Amino acid sequence: MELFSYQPEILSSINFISSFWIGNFPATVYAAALFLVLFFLLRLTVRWLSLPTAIIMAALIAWSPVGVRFVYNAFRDFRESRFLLGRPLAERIIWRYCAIDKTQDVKGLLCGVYPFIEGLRQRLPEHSVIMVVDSELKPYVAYYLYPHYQLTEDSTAAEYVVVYAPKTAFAYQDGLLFQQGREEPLGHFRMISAFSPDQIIFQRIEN
Amino acid sequence: MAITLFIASVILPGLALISFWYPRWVRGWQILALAYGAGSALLTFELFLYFVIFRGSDGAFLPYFFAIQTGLLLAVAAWRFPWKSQIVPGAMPQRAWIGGVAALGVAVLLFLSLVQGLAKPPAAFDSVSFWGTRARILLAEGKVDFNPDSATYLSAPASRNYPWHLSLLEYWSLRLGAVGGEVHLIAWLSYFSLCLLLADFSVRHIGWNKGLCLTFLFAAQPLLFYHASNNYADLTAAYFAAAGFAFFLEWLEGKRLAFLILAAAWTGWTFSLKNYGVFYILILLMGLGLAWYLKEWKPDWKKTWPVALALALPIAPIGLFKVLFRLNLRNSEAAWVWHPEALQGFVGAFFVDASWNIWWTVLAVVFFSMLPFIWRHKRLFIAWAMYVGLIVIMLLVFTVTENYRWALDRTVISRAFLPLLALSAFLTAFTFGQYSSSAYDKSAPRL
Repeated sequence: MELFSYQPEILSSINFISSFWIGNFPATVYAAALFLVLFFLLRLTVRWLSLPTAIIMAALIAWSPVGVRFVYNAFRDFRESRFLLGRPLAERIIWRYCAIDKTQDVKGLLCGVYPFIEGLRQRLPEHSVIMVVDSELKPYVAYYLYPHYQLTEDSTAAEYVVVYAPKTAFAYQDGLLFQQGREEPLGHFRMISAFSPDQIIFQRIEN
Repeated sequence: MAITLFIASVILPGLALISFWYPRWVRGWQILALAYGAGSALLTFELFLYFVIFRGSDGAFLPYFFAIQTGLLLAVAAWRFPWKSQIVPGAMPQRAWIGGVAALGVAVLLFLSLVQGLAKPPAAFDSVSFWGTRARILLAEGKVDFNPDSATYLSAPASRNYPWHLSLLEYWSLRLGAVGGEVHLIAWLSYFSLCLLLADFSVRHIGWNKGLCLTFLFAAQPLLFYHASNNYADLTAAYFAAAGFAFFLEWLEGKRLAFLILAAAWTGWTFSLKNYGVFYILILLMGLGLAWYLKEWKPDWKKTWPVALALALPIAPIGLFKVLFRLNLRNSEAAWVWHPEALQGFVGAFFVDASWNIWWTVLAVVFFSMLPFIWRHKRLFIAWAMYVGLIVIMLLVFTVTENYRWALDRTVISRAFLPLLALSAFLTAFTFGQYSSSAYDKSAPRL
C-alpha cells in the first residue's frame, strides 16, 4: 500500500515533497476533503466543542493519511542511515550521494564525485591552482576542492585543469587542450590521470 | 567536540544577551528558543563586521577572541540568570496526556532530524554550491576577496547577492572542526528553536493541549522536517521572521515597547539571511502603519527611535555592504512580466504536494471560519492584514517578475514559503487565543 511506501530523497526533495496518488487524485486532496468533512461534522454535531478545538481535532485526524507516510519515511531514513554516525567522512559522503544517484538515476556521476576528489587529492599537491571545467556537478567538485586548493576560471593561470562530466566537449591533441566553443586552445597540458573518459586531470606543460 | 564547541559558542552568548531581557519580556522556554538566534546573530554580526566591513584577515586570533567572548558571556549569563526559578512546573490541565503525547511526537521528530543531519553530509544543491562553498572559500583564503576580477570575488563563485549569516555560521563551525553533517546543526538548531518558540507561544495563548497539538502539526510538515537536516537559509530565515512576528503579536496584545523593539530587531535580521527578508521588514512597517491608523498605536519620538534603531542596526551592515558593492536583491533579471500560469505552481505546491500535508487547507479554514471575528477585532485585523499582505507580495513576486519560472518548475516556491508557514502557526495560535479569551474579555478593542 502507498501509505507505507518508502520515498527516498532526491535532489529536488529540498524544493518539494511529492504526494502519493490514490486513483486520479493526490492523497493530500483526500486528506483536505476529509478535514473539511470532519470540521463541519464536528461543528454541527458536537456543539459544546469550541471552534479552535474543532479545527485542531479535525486537522489531527485528517493529517494521518499523508502524515503516516511521512512518519514511516522518517523512521525508515533513520533506520537506514543511523549507522553512518561515527563512520569516516568519505563513507558518509559516498553513501548519501550514491543513494541519491541511484534513486534519481544521475548515471553514477553524483556517486562518483567523492571518489574522484579522493583520487585527485592523492595526485595533486595541496594549494595548487586548479580550473574545473563547466559541468552540472562542478559545484559539488568545487565544494570538496576547497579549502585544499585554489580554484580559478582562467585557464592561463591554472596549473591543472580538472574535467568532471563536462557540459561541452573537449579535445586533446599534440599536448594542446581544446574546448568546444572556444577558438583558442586552453593551453599546453598533459593528461596525468583519466579515471574515465569524462573524469580527467590535465597538468600544465611549461612552454 | 566540534558540536559541543559550536553549541557553546553560539548558545552561551545568546543566553547572556537574553539575560538582559529577562524576566520582564522573555521567560520560560522562550529563553532557550531565542538563545540560538541571539547568539548566532551576535557571532555572525561580529564576523561580518570583521571580515567584510573592516576587511580583516583571519589569523589565529579569531578563535581566541570568541573563546574569551564565550567565557565572559558565560560568566554574565551565570551571574544574571535566576536559574532556579526556571524549573518551576506550571499547573497541568485536565487530560494533560494529550499535550504530552504531542510533545513526545515533536521530541521524536527532533531526534530523527538530528540523526539525519549529523549522519549525512551536505548534498542539497544550494547548501553545497553556495552557502557551504562560500564558507569553505573563506576558510581557504582566510579573508574576503575584494578583487572584482577574481573567481572568488566576495568569497563566492556565483550568487554574490546572497546575504552572509548562514555562510559565516558555517565558516565558524568549520573553524571549530565540523566536517560533514556537523554543519547541519545550524539548520537543526533553527528547527528546534522554532518548535520550542511555537510551543511556548501557543501554550501561553491556547493552553497546554491545543498548543502542543498545534506545535506537533507544525513540526510534522515534511518539507520543514527535511530542511531541518539540510543547510538552506529558508528555515533559519523562518525562525527569525517568526520570532519577530511573535514579538509583534505580543506587542499588539500588551503594547509594551520592549516587545516592539524585539520584533524590529528579529525581523531586521532576516535581511541577513535571505534577500526576501526585506518583505518581512515591509510587512512589519505595514503592521505599524495599520496600528497607527486604527488608533492602536500613538507613536511619539521618545518611543519610536528605539524601535527604529532596533530595526536599523541589524539591517545596516548588510544594507551598507549591498550599497557599496552594488549588489541587488535579486538573482534573476530585473523585468516586469505577467505570467498568471505561475499560479498553478502555487496550487500544486500548497494543495497537491505532500510538502505541507494539509496545513494550508487548515489555515484557510481558520481564516474563513473566523473572518467575522477577525474583522471585528483590531489586533487580529492588523495581524491578518500583515499576513495577507505578505501572501500578496509573494504572489506578485512569482507572477509579475522573472521569478515566475521558479513557481512553474516548483524549485523555489515551496521553500520560499517556509517563513510564511512559521508565521501562520503563530498567527493561528494568536487567533485562537484571542477568540477563546474574547468570550470573557468584552473590553478587547474592536473595529
